[in-house]
Amino acid sequence: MKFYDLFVQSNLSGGENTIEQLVEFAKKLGYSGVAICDNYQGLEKLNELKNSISALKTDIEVYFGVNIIAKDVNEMKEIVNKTREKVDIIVVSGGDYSINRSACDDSRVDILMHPELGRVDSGLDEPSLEAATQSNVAIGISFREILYNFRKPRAYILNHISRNLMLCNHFRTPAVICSCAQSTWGMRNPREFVSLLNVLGPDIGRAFASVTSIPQAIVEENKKTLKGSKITEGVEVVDEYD
Amino acid sequence: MIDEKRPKPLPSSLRGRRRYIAYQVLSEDKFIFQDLSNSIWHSLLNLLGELGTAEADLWIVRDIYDEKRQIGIIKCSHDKVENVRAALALIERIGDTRIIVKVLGISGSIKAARLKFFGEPRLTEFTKTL
Repeated sequence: MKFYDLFVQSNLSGGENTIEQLVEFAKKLGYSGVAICDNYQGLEKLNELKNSISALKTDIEVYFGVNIIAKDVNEMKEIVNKTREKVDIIVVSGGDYSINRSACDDSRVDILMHPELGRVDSGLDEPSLEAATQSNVAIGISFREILYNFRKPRAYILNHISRNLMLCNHFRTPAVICSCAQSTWGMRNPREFVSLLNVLGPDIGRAFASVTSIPQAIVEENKKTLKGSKITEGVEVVDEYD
Repeated sequence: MIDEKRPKPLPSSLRGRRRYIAYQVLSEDKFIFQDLSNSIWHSLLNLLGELGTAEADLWIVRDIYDEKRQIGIIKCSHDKVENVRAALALIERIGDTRIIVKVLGISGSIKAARLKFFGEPRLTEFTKTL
């Protein structure tokens, strides 16, 4: 079984460890693939990250992603336009309802991370989740939000995550859990994520899918698109004929 | 002879089913077992509450804890393994030392856990060498 963590941040965007250290630790914890998603700070920084990742020599798969923290919907769309052709994973940091809704509608976005962040509600509703299912946008659960909050804030976060997971199950929206770690100490064994999700509601099979098959499907779809073999939804070059 | 200080052990059909969680602590710095034990209890009580922790039937085995390799065993009820694992994942530090509690595996007995996860040799392996 292949385990994936699609959101880890390196020292290029406020993290503590280098990409090499993060990848080495992910391997030690049993991951098959890990995505380095640093915050978007312009195309130059993005190229720097891409070069660092391509220079890596490791046994596990390392993906190149971007985390978009936008002030409004227009900014989010602008950054998505600029980066979609360049990165493996696009993660949008949620919290604001209009951004949550817009990210769910946009099929170029891969993961809407922590839609409940800083809110008194769970940040998602019926139209958002229906749109996310149609656009194949996964709802991301941030382990960092759970780990570094205590007592009352943690109780609220767990409640909102639990509600979002229940809604994801109802609307058949994919859900993934990511460490969102900014250092190796924020990373955990993938099996522990499965247990945490299982405690929050989903059965063990769906909890496993959140760290195995769903992230794997996201990565493979994007690989095909970047390679040019996938033209649009449902149209794919299977084999070229001369 | 009847030992009046302790109750008789229950028949196996009436005893609760247990699982043994073998864990390893990855840490920045050294710490003592008592602090680790306190952190585990604290995390469980925070996540599961007093009732949930009581249902988990927890016992952090002190005698087996290997201080050098920082590996040990926790006993819990068989149907609360996932809850205990989730609580272990939420431990992030002991005092000022950052840690990760990594679960090595689950076993049905202490003996099997020691053989599987502590790398202790079986008795048959000694007899083979003789």
